[in-house]
Amino acid sequence: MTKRINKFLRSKHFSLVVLLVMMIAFFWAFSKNHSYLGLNNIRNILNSTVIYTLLAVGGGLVIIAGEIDLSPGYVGTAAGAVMAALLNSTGLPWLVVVVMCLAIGVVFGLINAFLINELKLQSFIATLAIGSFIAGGFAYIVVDGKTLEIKNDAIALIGTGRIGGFVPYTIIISTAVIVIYGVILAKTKFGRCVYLCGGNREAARLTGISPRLMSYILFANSGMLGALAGLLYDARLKAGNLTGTNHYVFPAITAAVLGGLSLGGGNGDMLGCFLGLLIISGFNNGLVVLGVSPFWQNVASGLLLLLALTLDYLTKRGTKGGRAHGKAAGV
Amino acid sequence: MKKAVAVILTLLMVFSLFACTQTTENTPSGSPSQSPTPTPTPSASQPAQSPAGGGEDAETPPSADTVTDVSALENTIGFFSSGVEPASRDTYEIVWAYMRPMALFQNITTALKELEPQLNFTTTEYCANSDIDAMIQTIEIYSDQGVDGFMIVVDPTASARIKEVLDGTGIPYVAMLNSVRDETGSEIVPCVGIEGEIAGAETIQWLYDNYKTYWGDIDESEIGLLDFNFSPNVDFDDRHNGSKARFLELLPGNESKVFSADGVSGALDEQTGYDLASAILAANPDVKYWFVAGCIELYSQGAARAVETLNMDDRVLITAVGSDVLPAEWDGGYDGSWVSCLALSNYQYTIPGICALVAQMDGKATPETLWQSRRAPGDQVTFYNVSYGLLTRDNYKEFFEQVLVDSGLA
Repeated sequence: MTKRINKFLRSKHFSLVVLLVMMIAFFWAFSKNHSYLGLNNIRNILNSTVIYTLLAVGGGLVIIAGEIDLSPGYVGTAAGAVMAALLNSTGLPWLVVVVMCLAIGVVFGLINAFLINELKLQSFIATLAIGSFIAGGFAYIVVDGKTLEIKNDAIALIGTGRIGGFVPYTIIISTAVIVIYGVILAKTKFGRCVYLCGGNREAARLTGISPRLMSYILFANSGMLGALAGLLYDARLKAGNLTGTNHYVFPAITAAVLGGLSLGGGNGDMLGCFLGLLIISGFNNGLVVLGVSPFWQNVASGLLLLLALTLDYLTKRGTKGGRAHGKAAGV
Repeated sequence: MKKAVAVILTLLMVFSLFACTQTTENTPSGSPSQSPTPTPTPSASQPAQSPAGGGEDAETPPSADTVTDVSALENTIGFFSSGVEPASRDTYEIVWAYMRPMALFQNITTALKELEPQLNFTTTEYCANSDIDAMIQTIEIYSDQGVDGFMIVVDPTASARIKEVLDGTGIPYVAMLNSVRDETGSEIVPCVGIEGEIAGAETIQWLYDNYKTYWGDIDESEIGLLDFNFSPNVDFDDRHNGSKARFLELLPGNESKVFSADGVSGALDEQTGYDLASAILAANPDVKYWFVAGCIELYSQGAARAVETLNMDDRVLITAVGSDVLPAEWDGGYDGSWVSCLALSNYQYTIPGICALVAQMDGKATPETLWQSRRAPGDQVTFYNVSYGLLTRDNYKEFFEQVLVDSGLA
């Protein structure tokens, strides 16, 4: 037991938890009537992590495998636009439309993987091009530059409905996603393969893993989760939006990195990712609750990130955990 | 490590204790004794404005049938009193929320801050940085915090949802700039803005009436139009359509020289204006003279820079709807092809909006009762069409000074 506690105290998760507790205490203390920790506001914080969670999970897996995917935000916008267009102009059942839109995400992911693995483009460039130009432009074409209202009751219920009138369905969906992927990453052979590909691609190949196949799977998965994020975004707004989730991917990656994912690959897990998301969303929420000027909020978010990274560096240095940098976590 | 944790926890405790003390001392929603002493407002000086009488409490919500339109007694700048003496009630906390950073919104913030002592409210500013989902989340956050009212720019790409969320909070609100209409085109949110088609038409009319001052007696058939648009925004689209229609009305033979530039592929910024203008102006050398109409100022600003780069200053006349950017350029000595703008002082937007919000928070008005005499046929509530003027380098200072006088803030 003591050993486990010591291990936790030396882990990245501990410094994240300390940061989270500090942040919560600060905002709780300074918020009017301590409303920061009110049930409604906790729901607000979790609700604001929903889209980021989906993008961070998909993008995070790609990062752990040693690549980066900048397209899922744009893919989400495109998928949402397609959903709105199909629901408005065809009689297709909503479930069929949702599956088709998720498939669009998969297709964009496969195109990314093709460009990276077959044409040897850098993932940064390939996914940016596919996302910002192809998927982004596709969204404009689909809705003809207009906003399409979504009137489907089922989609509206998923986006805005609440269990017991309190917990939004979107929170349930995003929580389920991060738990499922967390288990897959930590407890399955597939998860270990992801770490191995990111830690040492050549070693992975020599052990019989196909990094190329893994790349296809992970990019397709990232595209699908990007599409899901876009669908939930539009379902929440009840409208197919032109810019949708375009700008969500960088904050999602930032949260994932804050949560311990190394951009070099081979490191990190979903719990850290979740803590990172919670810290960033909780922090942004706290600034709003305190009524901080919106322009100072950006600066404050940057300072939070710097603080978190510094804390992480000090923790690693203090525990000599830095030696383990690059070592496959959970393997 | 243990020492570090100990230090952190100690700091944490000190912060918490300190914060708790602060919270106890600073009671929110200041009591009358904490409220700033209001200075007389222009409307307050007008006789017989209050149907209910000053200082009356605001417990019973009014209905459209039974309550007089308190906004009917507005002054020239849109100032009116709800009849409740601001100093007699608690300080209202309002949220001024908008989608993206723009000079106009910053200026409205400044105007609100100036009006706070007079109307006894405090303003919290929120910018969603173009994230509609964040805007919706934030409305709910502020609602949970117990704010008293929202002044909000309702983004047209999700206006129905934003209205739904606002209605769900049960907190009074007033929209700024962007109208919110139902499927039949009927206005469904009280809003302060300008009627887009008329505004767009006015800008072109001014260019047509005055181009000879700049170009002399030229052949009218050589004039083309570069007409900016941002089609997802209904109001901007209206301005674009108004400009185009008036141009074709004035110069019906020049239809082939009309070029629409939709910023939808870019952003609502100067760079998009620059990119679109430079491409269109350079690609059409057969058009000798250009009118350029900006549905927003930033596009015209970009166009002005493009014209300078292309050395076309003597062949282009630029105008725009809005007056936050060009007057600042004039103040800095600008004297280029951007020659006019449709002027809307920040006070002209802000004062009707905040008065309408205060009247609702006071319980003396509802969305339905506000500005009934200004309501267009078919609208369920009123789109308050702000009056405006057309400014040039010669008259802009005079205009803004007059607005200050009218608003009682001079």
